[in-house]
Amino acid sequence: MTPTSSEPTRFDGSIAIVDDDPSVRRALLRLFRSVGVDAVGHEFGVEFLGSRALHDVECLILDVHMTGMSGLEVLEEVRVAATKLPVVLMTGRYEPDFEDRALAAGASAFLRKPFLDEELFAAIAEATGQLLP
Amino acid sequence: MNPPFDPIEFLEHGPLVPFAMDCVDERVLWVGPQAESLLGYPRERWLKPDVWDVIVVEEDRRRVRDARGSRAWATPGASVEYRVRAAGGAVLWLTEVGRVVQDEDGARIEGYLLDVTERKNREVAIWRSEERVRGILRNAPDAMVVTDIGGRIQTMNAQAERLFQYGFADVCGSMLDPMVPQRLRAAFTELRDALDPESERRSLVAGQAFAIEQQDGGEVPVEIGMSLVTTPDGEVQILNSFRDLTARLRLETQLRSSERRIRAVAEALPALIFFVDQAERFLFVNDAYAAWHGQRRHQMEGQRIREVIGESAYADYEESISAALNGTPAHMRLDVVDPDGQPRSFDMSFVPQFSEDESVDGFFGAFFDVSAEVRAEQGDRLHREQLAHVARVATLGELAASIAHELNQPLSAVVANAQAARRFLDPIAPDLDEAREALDDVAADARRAGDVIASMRKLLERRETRHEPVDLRHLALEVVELVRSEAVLNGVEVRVQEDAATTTTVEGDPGQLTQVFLNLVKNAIESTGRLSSAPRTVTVSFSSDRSDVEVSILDNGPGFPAGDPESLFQPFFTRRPGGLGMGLPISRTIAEAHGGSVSAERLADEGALLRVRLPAAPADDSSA
Repeated sequence: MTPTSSEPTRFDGSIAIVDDDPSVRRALLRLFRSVGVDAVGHEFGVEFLGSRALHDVECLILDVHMTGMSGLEVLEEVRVAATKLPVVLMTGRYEPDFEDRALAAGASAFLRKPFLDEELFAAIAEATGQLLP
Repeated sequence: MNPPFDPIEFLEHGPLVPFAMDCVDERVLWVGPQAESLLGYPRERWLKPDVWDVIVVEEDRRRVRDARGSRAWATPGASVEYRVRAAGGAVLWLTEVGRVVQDEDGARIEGYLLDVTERKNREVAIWRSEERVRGILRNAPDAMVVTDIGGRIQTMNAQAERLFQYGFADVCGSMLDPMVPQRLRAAFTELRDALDPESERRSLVAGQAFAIEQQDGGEVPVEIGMSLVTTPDGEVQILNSFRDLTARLRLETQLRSSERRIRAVAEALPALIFFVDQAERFLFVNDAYAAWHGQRRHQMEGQRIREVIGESAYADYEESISAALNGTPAHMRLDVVDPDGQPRSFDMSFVPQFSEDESVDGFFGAFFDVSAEVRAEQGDRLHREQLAHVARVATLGELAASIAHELNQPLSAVVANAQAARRFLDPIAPDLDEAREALDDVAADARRAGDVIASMRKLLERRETRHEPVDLRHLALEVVELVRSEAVLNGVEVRVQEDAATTTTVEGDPGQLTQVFLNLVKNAIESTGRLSSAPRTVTVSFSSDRSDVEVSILDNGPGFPAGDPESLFQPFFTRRPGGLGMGLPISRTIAEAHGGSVSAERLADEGALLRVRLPAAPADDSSA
């Protein structure tokens, strides 16, 4: 999903965050607010999959390790329902083959927690081909 | 110049009273003038036919008549002694010497009378005193031998005859000394020669240990007594008594040998042993106990406890001592410092000794040095603690990925909040409210990360077992934090039942108890994770009764493999590849060390239930 345009456009849309940890969700939403980007948070994958956000957002930031459906299971569903939605996978665990599995599952980019904002924005840019902020 | 002997004068005035008497009717034919002064009767009274009936006492009359009629009276010098009553009523002894004279006038007795009262009375006194002595001798418990002052045997009782195995007749008049064994004879003689009738002190020998030799050569141990006695006629005699000591010596030997046996046992035992009487005096101590106090046995025996051990040490034993002296056995363990300054532990027993009337004579104390055992126990505990620690570290290693996740979550939030706050503080269009909230969240998330570190440190720390109030619910929540990521990874939801009404505080070591829950919850998560169908849950719930807090860890996993649930507690039993198999056995060891238990139950449908019971903390300790 590497952007093909040589002059990437500015990111102009909204982002969904799915993480079952409320403080992480809260912090990421605040971070996007601080750069003027709309974002919505969901605690559970099923909640996101059943919401309008699935089709409205331009990018999904998805945690892998969650109670209920895991991030990879959610990604699988996303690929079925909205094949083009760029997805950035995050993990807080140490997983040696995380990158390979993330890409194989159809993620556009990946992040290891904790990460700086520039890493987050770079991952979104990589996934969407658009620059943030 | 002496007057010439005048027979007539002698007959009429000498002590002998001449008389003549008819042989047949015993009428006095003639009597010397002294007769009047002899009995106080006038001479004419003697010449009356009834004179003998009047003067001879009734008991002697027949004997006198018989003597005068006997053949003996046909020869000169025949005599009879009898008692007569004087005119004043006094009774006198007379000797009558006479002979029968036959001539043309017929047969008559001629002779004289002599007053022998004084001699006779003396003889009777002697006879009576000898009778008395013989009576005493006969009834004495000991063998008694009377000797003269030179040691010649005068008389002896039957007990003496039995002791010496000689008949009195055989030894009468011979020396007593040869009946003492040769080696003791000189001492015996010396003892006797030292007796002195003039000195009160030296007229008596009491309780000298000797031996006598029997006729057959056998030796008998005796206690000899000697006392001087003076007979009525002024002879000084020695009353020798011999008490046979055979039985007493046998008893004493038995007592000594039983005491020797007790001492032998007391010295052979690896213990400090002593006997204390009601006055709290040491009557018996073994060498080990004496040495403990830096004394010798004979120095300590007879001393009072307080004086030997000092007041402060006495206070340690006081309760046990008074219990034992009141008849109740007491036991205690005491840690002391030995004379070399080394710490020692003693198991001490105080065992009362009862006399035949069931009163308490005193008590035996036995102190067994259990320092080695105590050290071994401490070593065991140390070993157990080390093993538990190793297992804790291993468990944490297994959880490292999860714990990293638990740290990365708050750290992610911290970084995001910090960078957002920085932007909200933009000098051109600052949003201070957002910035403040972001920083509040930074602090909260940092604290959350710190809590993870703290609960991890609790498990990693290695220290002496502590005893403090621990809230098991709080501890369960901490554990759930540690394993949260593990639960998520396994798709398992861990619930901690909230019920504020239940007492969940116990007394114990927080690290070790955390380990118990970590093991049990982690096991439950791992076994449940294999279950394919949702919902997968592990539920931690609490209940309590008066004495215990019970924690149930219920999972709806596949349960245990077939067989005894107890096999789960066998070390190295594991179904997890790479697992150590020490989690459950260590959890049980820890719970048991806390006075509790861990048990496993297979549930009827699916799942497993593990119960941890721990004694509840004292009720007044509600602050924990």
